[in-house]
Amino acid sequence: MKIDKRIRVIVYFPLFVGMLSLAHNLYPVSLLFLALLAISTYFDLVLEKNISGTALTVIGILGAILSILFIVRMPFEAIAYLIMFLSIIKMLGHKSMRDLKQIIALSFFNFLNSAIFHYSFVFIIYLIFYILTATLALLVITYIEERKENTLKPEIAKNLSLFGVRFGIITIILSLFFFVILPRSPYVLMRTQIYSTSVREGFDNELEIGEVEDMNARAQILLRIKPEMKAKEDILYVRGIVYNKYEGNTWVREPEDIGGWKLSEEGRTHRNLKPYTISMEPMRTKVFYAPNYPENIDVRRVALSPSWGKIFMLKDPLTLRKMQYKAFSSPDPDTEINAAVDYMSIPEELVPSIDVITTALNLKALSPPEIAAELRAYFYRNYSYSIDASPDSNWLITFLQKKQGHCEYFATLTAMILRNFGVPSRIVAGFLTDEWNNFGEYFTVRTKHAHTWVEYYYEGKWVSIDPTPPRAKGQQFLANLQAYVDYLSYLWTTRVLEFSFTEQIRIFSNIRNFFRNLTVKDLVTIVTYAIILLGLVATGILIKRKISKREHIATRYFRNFQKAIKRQGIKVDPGTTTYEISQIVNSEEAKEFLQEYLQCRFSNNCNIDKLKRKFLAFKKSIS
Amino acid sequence: MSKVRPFVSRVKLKKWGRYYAVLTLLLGFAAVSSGNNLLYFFLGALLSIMALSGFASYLSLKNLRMTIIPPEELYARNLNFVKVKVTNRGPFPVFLIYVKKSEEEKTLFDIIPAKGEREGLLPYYFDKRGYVSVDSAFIGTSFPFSFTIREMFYPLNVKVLVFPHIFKISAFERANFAKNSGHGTDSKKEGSTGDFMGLREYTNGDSVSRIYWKKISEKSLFVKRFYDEDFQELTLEIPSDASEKEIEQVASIAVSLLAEGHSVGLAIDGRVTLTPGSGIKQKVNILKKLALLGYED
Repeated sequence: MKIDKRIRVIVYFPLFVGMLSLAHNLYPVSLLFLALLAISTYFDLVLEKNISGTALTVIGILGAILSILFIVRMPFEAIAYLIMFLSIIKMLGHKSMRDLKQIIALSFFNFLNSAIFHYSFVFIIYLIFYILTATLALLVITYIEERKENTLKPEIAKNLSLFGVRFGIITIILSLFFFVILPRSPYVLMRTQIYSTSVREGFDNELEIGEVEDMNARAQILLRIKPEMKAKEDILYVRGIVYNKYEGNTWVREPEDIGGWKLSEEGRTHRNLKPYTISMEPMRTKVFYAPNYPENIDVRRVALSPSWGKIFMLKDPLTLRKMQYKAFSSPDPDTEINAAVDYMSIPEELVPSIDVITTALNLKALSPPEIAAELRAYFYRNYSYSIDASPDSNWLITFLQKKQGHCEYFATLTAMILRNFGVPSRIVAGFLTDEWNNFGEYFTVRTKHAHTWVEYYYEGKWVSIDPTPPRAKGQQFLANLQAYVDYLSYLWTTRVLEFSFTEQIRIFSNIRNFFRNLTVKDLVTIVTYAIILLGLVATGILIKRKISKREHIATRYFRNFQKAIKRQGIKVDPGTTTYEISQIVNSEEAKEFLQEYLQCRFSNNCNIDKLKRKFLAFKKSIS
Repeated sequence: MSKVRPFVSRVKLKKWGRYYAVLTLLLGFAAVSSGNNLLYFFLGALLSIMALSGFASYLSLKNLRMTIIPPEELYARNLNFVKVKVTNRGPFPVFLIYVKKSEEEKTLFDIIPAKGEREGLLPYYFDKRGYVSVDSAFIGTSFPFSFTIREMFYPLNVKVLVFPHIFKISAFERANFAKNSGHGTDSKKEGSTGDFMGLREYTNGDSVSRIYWKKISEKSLFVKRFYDEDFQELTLEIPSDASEKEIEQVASIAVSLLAEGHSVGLAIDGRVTLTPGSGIKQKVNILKKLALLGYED
């Protein structure tokens, strides 16, 4: 028994949604699977052609064997590709009731698997669509199986769809409730790694000149930094990694990791420390990012080591999933200077260029802060910021000639000039952001905010100086809308992805406290709102009832007829039958109208046009 | 006798429901062990669907009211069709509602609209003749997702009179029975094959060939009347302590003869209880007597 095409379409929908959700983060390989799905659907629905079950079983087994080859290297991806492959194969075969059920099961596995790869709030949109389509598909399957039919009557289809939509909406709302109350464990046995083509690249141990410039060309969001204190900065310097050695157009951190200062417990309680909550997008990084001078970073499940330059390093670059951590930063600069770190070397090839600047500015008699200030003022006056410098090995010469360049050029040259005057100096790579999100009250840090600046050691502390002239601010199209969408994404990360056992405890204790601290005034407010709400609901129900009890269209004509005869001076008592009225009015047109009215009102065969014509004829006869 | 409790609901898990439950458990384990909140979200959705489907099926049945309208003639151990009217008092339509006495005796309603009703025929077998109480029926549904079957026990307390089992009876069996236990009379009835009987006024449906053309009045026609040679008037005799088989045999013969237009009466223990007669009323009277034979004091 071949199942009706419309029913098959309904059943395929959840599969499409499930596969799309899975394919979303397996781009671009997944495009191939989506194309194959489209072709197999075309074969099934348009050409009505299916491949024999045996051939498909063989292909399916081959696919499974092939996926086993990859399962060790990339287990989650191999399983995902296998499920997509089996779904396509299923679409090519003949569709009995059992096959349709299997298609729904496959859609389930597709969607389930996608939960491992997703991290963006787009998942919730897929989930909503999946629930709605899968609900409808299951309803239809149940119906035709129970009725032993292979098609669906339009009336049933309409009612089932209506039920499905209502059911789906309530399911979505109830899912949120379950999401909050389902027990979380503070001890996770197995953490799924993120797999995404859109994993961002953070800073590494080496920074080639031009690398920051490349980052600036993109606008991917990397961090969202929410100050926990009310006093907000206009701009925020986010510290990433510190480099000390320049060789062959590359800044290098050498030695990579010497614990220059310790993670101090006092740091947590220091009055001057500013706490920030930082939400990080999936990133391959060597360091953790924090504003100004981080004293401490509070992060779950990741081993960190504080290192020289007041940064927090990871032993190996990690691909991290979306995560949230707290940073406690100090406005006071770093004071540590480690003898094992070289802050003074100047490569030979840079010396001529350094001399040009020092001679031109006559810096010899100046103190380090004066040199730094003079250089900064000089660059501000004579140079401009540009991200189109296309650096090569002679970048410095080009920079000096064109008088425009990128932050790496300004920072490198400043650090080298300071070193030339015997001042220890280093480069800090991080971000400089002024993108404040009013909705979420946080700073957004994008790749385009990547920045380098200089720190020089003077009178026992590392003084910061940013010699790069300010960049031109571009107008953002629909900036508010963009900010709001970003805020939703931020909420998704903080409220959903990072929802934990601690959060659950906090919510439950908040609820408990709310009821404990309930005053009479609160109670009155709640009751008032409840009454208003109930009143609104009751009004809604009454309106709905009134609408559903709206008079029959024939009744409306009959009332008009009554008005018309009343105007003629004929009074009809309530309860007078139509037969009696026709006797009283005694006109052929009235009789015909009344007959048509009875036919229309009390039988299933109502012709409104005919009724209207009869009514108009009657009106004409009396006018 | 167990006490009847109205609307006791029972839920049975179907095959797909079991799969669903196992999958939900596995997903729960995966969510807890991985700490992946998106898995928690999906798990929440699955649990919601499970809870809501149970609630939806409960609500579907809760607002239903059932009435049974038995037909005039019900026969023991024969397939009877009992009219079932199911009314939905709820604000939403309900789907795939079935009413059943047993797995074989079941009728399905595809949809019952909100505040509406539907009628169906429920196949029904009665084991024995006489007054039988139709105590209850189950009203159930596997809607919305065929994960479970929810059934509610619906007390009906309808008392019906069930006639004896009747079966097809051959002419030989009938003749044999008439010879041994019943007897025919000479009473004759108008037919078309026997001797001339007289004239009567023409009525609609009379054959034109039977019109008596020699006597035509201004207002009416007359047709010729003949005796029916095949017509029998028979009184079936049965003892009051007859076996079930004998009662069924007499009932079957009576029904068969009455269907052929014969006049049939009934004598119990040699005493004529019903004088010969024909038509549905006579059939019902005979079957009633036979249904209660042995039960009446």
